[in-house]
Amino acid sequence: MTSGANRSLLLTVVIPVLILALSCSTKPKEPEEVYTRRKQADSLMLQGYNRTDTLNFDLAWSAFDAALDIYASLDNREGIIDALLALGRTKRMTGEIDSAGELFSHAESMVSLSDNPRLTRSVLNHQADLALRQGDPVQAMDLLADRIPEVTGGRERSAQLRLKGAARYAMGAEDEAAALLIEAAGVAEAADEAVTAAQAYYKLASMASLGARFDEAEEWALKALEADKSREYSPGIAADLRALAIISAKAGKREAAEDYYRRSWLAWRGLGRNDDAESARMELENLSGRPVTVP
Amino acid sequence: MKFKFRHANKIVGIFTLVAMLLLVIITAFAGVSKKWFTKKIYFTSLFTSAEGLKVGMGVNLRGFQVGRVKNISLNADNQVDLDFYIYVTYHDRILPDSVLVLPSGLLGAAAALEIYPGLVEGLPLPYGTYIPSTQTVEGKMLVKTRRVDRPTGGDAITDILAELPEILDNLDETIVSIGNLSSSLKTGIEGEGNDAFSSTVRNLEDFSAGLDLSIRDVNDITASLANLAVELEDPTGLVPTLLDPTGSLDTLLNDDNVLWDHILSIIVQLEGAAAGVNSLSTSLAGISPQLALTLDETIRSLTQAQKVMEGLQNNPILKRGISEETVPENPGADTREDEF
Repeated sequence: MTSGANRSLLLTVVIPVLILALSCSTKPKEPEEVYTRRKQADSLMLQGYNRTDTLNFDLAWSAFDAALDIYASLDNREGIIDALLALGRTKRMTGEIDSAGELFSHAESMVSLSDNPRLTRSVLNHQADLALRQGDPVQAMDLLADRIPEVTGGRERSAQLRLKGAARYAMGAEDEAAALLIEAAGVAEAADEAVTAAQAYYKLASMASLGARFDEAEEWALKALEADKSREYSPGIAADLRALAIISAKAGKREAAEDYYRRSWLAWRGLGRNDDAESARMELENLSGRPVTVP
Repeated sequence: MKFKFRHANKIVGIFTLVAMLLLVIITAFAGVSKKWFTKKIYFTSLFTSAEGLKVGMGVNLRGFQVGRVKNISLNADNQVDLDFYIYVTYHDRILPDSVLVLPSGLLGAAAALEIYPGLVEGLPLPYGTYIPSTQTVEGKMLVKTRRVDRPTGGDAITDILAELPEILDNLDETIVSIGNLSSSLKTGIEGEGNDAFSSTVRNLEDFSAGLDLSIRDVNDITASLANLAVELEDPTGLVPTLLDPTGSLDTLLNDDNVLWDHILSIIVQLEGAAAGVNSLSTSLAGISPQLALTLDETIRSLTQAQKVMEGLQNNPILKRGISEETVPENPGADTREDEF
């Protein structure tokens, strides 16, 4: 073929085909108004999570509720389900178990209409967590059973394994529980989900401490603390410090316990969780035998 | 032989007549093109400063000149009254909620004012009506709440730059409000105020030390935000450089990365400030809902500013546009309530 023919071929066939392929492969943009509204809802969800971390449940509820309204107006199914789960979690934390169950069921009915394994797993994990807290590990295990299709990695998979571990522990199978929790932490670490990994380490620390294996418990709690610190996740750091304080006290390490209690007290205060802060302060007073005031 | 025109007077008369006729015709054409004979509908507006305003400057609607500024005067409240008119042919576009905009707040001396028509359906605003400018709170709110028909979709860099005045306003407002809140919080902690907040604080025995630290953080952040806002508004700074007569793209490509580095440094500052405010907001959220909400506003403004800067960074050369924000992820059910 001559160079002229090559040029013609390039101009008339190759470039148009490339342009067509590019235009087909590019994700269509959201309309500006929808994008803005969705971002508003996303911001409200973040606010709600932050409020939940500081136990401001009324504010958290309002934020999640407003986000739900926006997601519903946009017919954003994923957002609706996440908002329903967040609302249910808020209810669960305020002790309104029935309301939490209803909200999770509502999310379940929404998720049944979608083929999103992550969302499905998220709903099932929340329901399993609720079952565990109601003292029904058998039902929790049923909800945590692998399904087809199932998520194979990331935060939800890690949460599934962690909750399975908690359920098996509640059923008396501690070794199996520990293996599941270690696997959960590994999955989370692989997905760069440090806070999720910390949750698994925290549970492992709890199990070891309740089994009077304090060195092991301290090791797990320190791993949890390290993971939470890597993400500057304050509520996790405060909880880890409290766990380390209890473990150290049980292990007879009084000085370390005092140090951890003092740090957890300040961490809770910084978060505005006054009840937790006061409880840590009183423990510190009991341990040190002298009044503890603001430094 | 002496040469002589037989009809000299007649010829001169005809020439004079033709010249006068031409003058009248040209004047008429000029008048029509300049809309001297078009009926005008007069309106008033209010600005905080006459800087960038001048009598005779055009009033544009989506690039079409639809009117002119008739008069500018300083009123008794040291505000600037502006009288302008709209040609009757465009009167039906001037609906309730319309807003007058001076683009030169950022772009130096603008050639014309811009009018954003209101989006409500109804009759056009009558003669003499007051139309707020974006230098007034009313005008700002009309734009912010999207009640005006604001043109979009022009050159991306121009669109981004057009957002800057609003962002700077937001930054200024939040800086002032953080400062005020910080002062009132300090007054409350010291127990000097007479309001309910002060008396409540007086009764809280373990409040002061932690909050003093927090206030210092707030003051630090306020100062750094103020510096940032000043830098963005600096007449020798980023924005005027971008608007250099040789053009933004040219400047970016041919200044040995000076402007580029400037943009990058501002982005780094914005990220740092946003991260600082964010962590402070989380730790103070439980202590003062009002402060937390103010900080949330600051974060939103900073995030917006960050996006603008990111847009500037990406637009001319890289064409990456403004990146997607991270979608909030459900933190899961667990809340660390295990026994030890």
